[in-house]
Amino acid sequence: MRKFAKKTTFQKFISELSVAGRYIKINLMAAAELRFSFLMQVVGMVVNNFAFVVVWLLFFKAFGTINGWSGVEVIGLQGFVAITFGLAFSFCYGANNLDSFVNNGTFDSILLTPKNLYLRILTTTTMTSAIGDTIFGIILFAIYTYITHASLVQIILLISLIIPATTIFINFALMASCISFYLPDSAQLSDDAFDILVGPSLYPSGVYQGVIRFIFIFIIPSIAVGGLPIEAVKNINVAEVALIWALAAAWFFVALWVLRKGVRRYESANLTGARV
Amino acid sequence: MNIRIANRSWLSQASKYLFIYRLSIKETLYYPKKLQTSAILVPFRILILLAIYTYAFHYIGQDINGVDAAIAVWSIAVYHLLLYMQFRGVFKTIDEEARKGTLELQINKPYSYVAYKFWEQFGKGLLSFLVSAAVVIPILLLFTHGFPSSASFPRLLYALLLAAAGTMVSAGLYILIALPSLWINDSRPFFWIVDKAILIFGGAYVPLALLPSSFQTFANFTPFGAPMFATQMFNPTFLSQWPLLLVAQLFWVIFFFILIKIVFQRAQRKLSINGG
Repeated sequence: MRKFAKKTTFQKFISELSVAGRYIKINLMAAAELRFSFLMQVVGMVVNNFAFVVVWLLFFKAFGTINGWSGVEVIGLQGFVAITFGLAFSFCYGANNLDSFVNNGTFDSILLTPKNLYLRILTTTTMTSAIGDTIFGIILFAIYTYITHASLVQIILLISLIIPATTIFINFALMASCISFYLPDSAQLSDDAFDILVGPSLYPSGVYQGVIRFIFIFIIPSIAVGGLPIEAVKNINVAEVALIWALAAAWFFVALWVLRKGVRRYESANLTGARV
Repeated sequence: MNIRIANRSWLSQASKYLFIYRLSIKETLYYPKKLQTSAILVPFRILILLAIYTYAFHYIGQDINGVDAAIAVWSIAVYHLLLYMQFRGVFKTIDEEARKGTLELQINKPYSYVAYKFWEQFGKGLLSFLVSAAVVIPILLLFTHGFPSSASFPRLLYALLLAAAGTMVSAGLYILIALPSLWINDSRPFFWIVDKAILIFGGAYVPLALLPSSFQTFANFTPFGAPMFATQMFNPTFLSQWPLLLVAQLFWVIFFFILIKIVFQRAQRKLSINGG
């Protein structure tokens, strides 16, 4: 009997993941339908991201190396953040869009889906340009590992850290979107809250010291999704790797808790319309 | 008689667009939430850059090309404040109207569509600029202990001239790249490329004086640096350079005015509206 219960839970989990996977596939296929627009967005985003690399390379050309950070680390940082951001929103852009579902009243239909609410929210939409971010990130990632002559252990470690960093990105975005459960018409505020995470994550973390560093690791985890993984892999620092995983777990559970609290406050918008 | 009629017609045209300008300001006033980004995000970004530059200059222990931390951060702050008065937003408006089909309703009305969008955007930016400046300037005065050492009244005056001309260049640039939306599905990639070129050559994160001389020359002689020439107001060479910068801006204003006229005429011929 116990065995049967365990199997059912596992099957349920697989079923949830499989449905989420199908949603992602449909979203991506829908985005790719307008082929020219899709390609333009992907290529445009690659070019767009290149600007930030140039900016920080110029910064380090002027200042030289600061606390072990130079242009090389910036390439690694920009690549890592681009991959995590890209993966997060190529597949789970719903985390960022929850505020608009709540504000528009379309959250009702998501709430009534007979599947896991968390996964359903995440996989509701996709961000086409995030695919460009991912491609850009992979290119920079390859350049970084080549320049630094990274060992196999370092490469594996860096790739494995993409998982917790992406988890932090998704769950922070979801929490920022949850503001809409508490404040009406708060889409702009949610976007701003998320920008507060993304902006500093692109800056070289070697210049964050003292209190600012603490804030950007534990309160606004900007360093945890960019600078810290680069530093951890560069120095093969196990404690920093463990910290990143612990932060990912913490943000996951906090986001679930905030979502649950928020959903309890939600009142139906009574929006009527056809869903195709 | 003819002169009097012409004058009256000119006045009626001017008052029509000034009315749009006032209406746009009032609209922002009625939706104060639109201003919260100006009050939160830009000051937050400036605070981080202040921390970065203060630390970086302290780390190397010297000025670069006569630029110290205070000058660097004030220049960057001027960039981010001027951004509100400029025309980034006009791209999004025109692009969205073309894609949604609402442009069709406006293009047949008895006013110039381009002029309408110009004045509307001009009105939208004013309050955001004022709110942001009201938060950012006291922060900078507090943390950099007053204005930068090179600040003076003549510099401010010349910078205001450059800011006004730069706003016109930005209008030309962003309206020009928005017009292809009238006949292609998605012109956002053009926006990303131009926007990031302005970010680099305007000095959004690294002031122009800290860039290599080849970058400075490119910025001064292309339309990508021209919208933000006013950010150079604290640079040691500014007093000798500003007349040349102003001439360059005026050249780009005339250039874009002519180009927009030609492209808009062609765009109207090729116009394809998506339903509406």
